[in-house]
Amino acid sequence: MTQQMYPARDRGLRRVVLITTTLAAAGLVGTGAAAVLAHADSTTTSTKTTNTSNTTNTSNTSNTGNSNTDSGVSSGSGSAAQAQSAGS
Amino acid sequence: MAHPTLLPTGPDTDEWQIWTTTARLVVTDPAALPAARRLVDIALAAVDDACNRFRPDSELRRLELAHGRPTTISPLLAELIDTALIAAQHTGGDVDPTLGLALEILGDGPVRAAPGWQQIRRQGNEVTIPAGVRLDLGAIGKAFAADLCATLVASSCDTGVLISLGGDIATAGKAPAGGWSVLVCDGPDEPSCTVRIAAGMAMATSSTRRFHPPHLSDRLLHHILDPRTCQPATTAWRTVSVAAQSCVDANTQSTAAIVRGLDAPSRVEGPARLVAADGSVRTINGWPR
Repeated sequence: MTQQMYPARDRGLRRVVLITTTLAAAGLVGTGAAAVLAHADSTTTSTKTTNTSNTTNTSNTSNTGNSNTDSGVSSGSGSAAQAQSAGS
Repeated sequence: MAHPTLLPTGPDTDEWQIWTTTARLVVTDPAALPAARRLVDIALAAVDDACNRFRPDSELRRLELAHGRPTTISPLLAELIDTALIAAQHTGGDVDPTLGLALEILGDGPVRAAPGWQQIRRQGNEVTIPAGVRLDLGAIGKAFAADLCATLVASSCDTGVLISLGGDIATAGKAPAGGWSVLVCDGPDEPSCTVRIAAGMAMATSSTRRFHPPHLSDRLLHHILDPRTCQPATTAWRTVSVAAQSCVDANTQSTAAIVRGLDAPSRVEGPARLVAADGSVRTINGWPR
């Protein structure tokens, strides 16, 4: 995987925990959502630590967060697109 | 510059207009779609309240009334500003949030450097923005919102999700078999390709396709400004698409690539596809040929 500018996913999850807590405080989402996200944050951080320490990935499912190519992007010729990436 | 997609929609997909562009939400579990849409609406409204520079009542615009005094801001706006400052730092200022005024007077303003992201002071829950400096968090805000929505939906609705906001794409949770299929195309007459991105990956495209600024009906300009001149960046590339682990990363890299011009390929970190001014396509860092 190409080196990222900063640990985006970990940072992103922490950000979502913060924001969801805020939304929950405002009554916009259930307080349960914040707890779920807090759990996801700790789980993902733990998983990431494991994956960066050269530990063998024991997951049998190829679509749970790991790239199906080294770059995470592969040819999709012939497949029906689910989204379009374009400038806006 | 909204251009609704012509992609099919089914029971796993919702599509609507927002921020003068198109939002598209795709989930792996169709039963989760209504709840996912509700969460996305809440998150987008929160981001809009925080940083929409076109709304006088947004928190960002109300900051201008502080006239350079330290101001307490919400956790959400703090995260947005911090994200923009990190992007500026990592791109050496190629992506700069202090271009708000330059965007408002696009095409009419003098050639001079942006005030500079280093002028923004952040400490705790306060921010200090010098008087006269206007922030634009538009591009970063959209990418941030995509990341936020994807993570919220995947974590709360127990479904894999793809969210596209104006073509900036974030995913979270499980992907369909083979990955998420994405059409990379900046318009009907532009070169295109279809790729698959792995679960958790994101993609963003920056474009120099021209448009009429509202105050200049007789001129065509594009809206990615070079902070060194506050003028539209030179168009060495008319479209740059980048894949990364977050939409903020992808958007930051694609925007910086446009600003960097011919030097971009040596500095983009993620898999990328660059369409040159003459329409030729260059792929780097593992983007499929």
